[in-house]
Amino acid sequence: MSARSHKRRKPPSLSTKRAVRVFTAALAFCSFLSAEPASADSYRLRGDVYAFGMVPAPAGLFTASIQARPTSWADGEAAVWLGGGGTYGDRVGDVLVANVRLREPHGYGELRLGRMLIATGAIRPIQIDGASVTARVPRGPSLQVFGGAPVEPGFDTKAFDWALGGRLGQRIGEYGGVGVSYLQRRTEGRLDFEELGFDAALSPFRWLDASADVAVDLLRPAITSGRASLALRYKSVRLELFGLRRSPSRLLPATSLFAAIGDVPSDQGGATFWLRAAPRLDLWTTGSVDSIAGNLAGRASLHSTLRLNDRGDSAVGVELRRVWVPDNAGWTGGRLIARIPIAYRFQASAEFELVFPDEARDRGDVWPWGLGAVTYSPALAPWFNVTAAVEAGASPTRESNVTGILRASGTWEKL
Amino acid sequence: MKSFPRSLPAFLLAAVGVSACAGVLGIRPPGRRPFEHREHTVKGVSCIKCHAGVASAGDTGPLHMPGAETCSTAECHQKPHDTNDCTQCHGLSGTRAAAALARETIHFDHGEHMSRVKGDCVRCHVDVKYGAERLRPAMATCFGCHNHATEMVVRKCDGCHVDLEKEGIKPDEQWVHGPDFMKEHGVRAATASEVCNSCHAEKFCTGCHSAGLAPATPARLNPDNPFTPSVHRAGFFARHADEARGAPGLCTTCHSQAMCTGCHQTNNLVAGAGNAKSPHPRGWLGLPGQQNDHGRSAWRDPGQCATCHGGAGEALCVGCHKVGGLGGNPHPPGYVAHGDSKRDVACRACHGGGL
Repeated sequence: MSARSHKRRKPPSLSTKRAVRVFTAALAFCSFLSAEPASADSYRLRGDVYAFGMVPAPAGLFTASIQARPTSWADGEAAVWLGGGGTYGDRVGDVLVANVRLREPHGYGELRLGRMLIATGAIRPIQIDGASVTARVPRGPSLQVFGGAPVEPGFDTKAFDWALGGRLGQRIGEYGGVGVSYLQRRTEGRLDFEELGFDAALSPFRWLDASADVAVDLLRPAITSGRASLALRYKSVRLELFGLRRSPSRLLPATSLFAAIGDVPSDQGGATFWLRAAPRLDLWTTGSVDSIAGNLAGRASLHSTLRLNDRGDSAVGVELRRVWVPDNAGWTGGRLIARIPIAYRFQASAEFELVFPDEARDRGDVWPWGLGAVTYSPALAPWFNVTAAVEAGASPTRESNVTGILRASGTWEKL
Repeated sequence: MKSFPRSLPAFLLAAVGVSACAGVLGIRPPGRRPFEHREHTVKGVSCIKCHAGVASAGDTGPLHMPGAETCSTAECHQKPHDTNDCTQCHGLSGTRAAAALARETIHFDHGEHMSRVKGDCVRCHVDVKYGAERLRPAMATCFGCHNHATEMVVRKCDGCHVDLEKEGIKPDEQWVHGPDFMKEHGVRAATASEVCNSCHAEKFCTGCHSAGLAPATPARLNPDNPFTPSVHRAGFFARHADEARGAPGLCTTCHSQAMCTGCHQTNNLVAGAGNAKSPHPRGWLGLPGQQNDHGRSAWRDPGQCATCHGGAGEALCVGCHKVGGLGGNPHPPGYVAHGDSKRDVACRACHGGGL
């Protein structure tokens, strides 16, 4: 958001009230579940509060989440975002997750109800208000079926919107698994997505990982997206080869005019090489060549991380990156990272990045960005920590901006 | 030989520098090695003699790692060969750090196990016999007595692993998050999402995959850990337009149109006559024969166009690109239509009598 723009804050809208109502309901439900836990079971409640402000154009962001695991057969999770304005438009509240999960004690089945993210098989992740049922045989086949109304931002709803799908999977011992998945989505009653996906991940040897997935558009039969990777590992070295195809027009609803303009997929092929050069020093580099609508593009980066102690909670890192994009939209950049304990119970972290665009186009020759943060965890309450951070940068989207971040996090558990 | 006296300081300085670097990199001198557990055991020193109190420490008590005073107060090392702390040379610091981390993140009570193994610590700590650096028993050792087959199948790990995320251990080697895991995490989650659930709650996923609801990416929520893998790192927001050009369709996989339009409209970053903040670059739109970049960009990533011009905004395109219109054929060379111009909504916009 431009630091110069100002927007009058609207009074709390219906969405705010609904957000608060949903959050309160989720909180009450989790409290209810944890009120009388089974005597032999443990439970854990976790709450995170995140506050966010921008200077000189204040905006608010507040997230709170609760995870409750009162028994071995049920758990609940809720994450609610309250606040907004400024950068994120007029939306002032949303629920990211609010669901309960009931499990068959021996693991043969699972039921989820509420707002959830479905990420299964090769079909695209979709967030729904609905239900998901999974049945599985240990080390054997599994079947997941889900259905519900696709989530719209700001508690918006559309008539006759729904999504339905599932995945049939089969474990191959300890070596991996394969699966077939299906998703169809209707918007206002019209079929606008129908996908069939195939996925496989195999680790036949300790030194070899292979994985691939492909989603096929059934409305206009062709590949929507596909990925494949092959990784070889030997002691302190890892080499991965990967390939990717994505068809942007098929990611759009079939009812959109833009889905019918053309079908120009983009392809990517590349490799990543990782080396533990010394016990505390990791080096890795990755590079790829892209074909974007017939134009060549690519990216390459070099990274290093040096851990300053054996636990690795103190470290410094360097990244160098080069990106080639059609129409001279490429850029070169570097980033320095550090995370260091500075005093008893205090930890500091910092990032600094410089980006040099290939063509300034009146957007500035260099785009700096930096972040500094301090975290404190009191000795008397190790379950609680608070982080204060300042982020500043200059870029084409913001001539200059300063962001203050304050995060408080606590975990309560009875084990 | 004349130059030797002058080069000696430089040589010494270089040697000191190399030694310092080796220390920083974690390269240990040959003398620094795992603690001599085997030598102590062979001489008849019981584990409890040095690790006194470990049996009664319970699940949350102190670690009972012996220090210099333990060695010197016993009758064994009353005259140490050195005035330094024993632990500076004997034993690796990583071993102690790993034990401290295990105390914080794993449910384990030595006292409950001591009686069952009749005080034979080596029965679990088998690597002690070989002078290994890692002394924590492997999970396979636990499974020698404990049958956790059901827990493994349903990935119910929290009976022992209190905080897997902090512990940093992964369910199996093939699931270790490599340096470029962001790229492949989708495939991994596709085949075994229950493994992801072992460590990650669903809100972790929705931070990115949430229909554009909330900007709650790991990078945003963890400013204290800049090493957290995250799809939008550092100053991504500043260059998001260029990043989108380099990965057509990628934005659409997570973000809804409302995410983009909300910000652009709020900040007046919209196309319009005389608006210097228009996201369209120069040469974006022109009459036939003039520079006209919008068509090529639309072929590459129509999702970007749909972000602002979707729905009712599609009429803007049809106004010029209708059959026989000024804009001409909007399809790229070689385009093969799969739709039905009479039935499909997208085709009907131009070929079926308008929107």
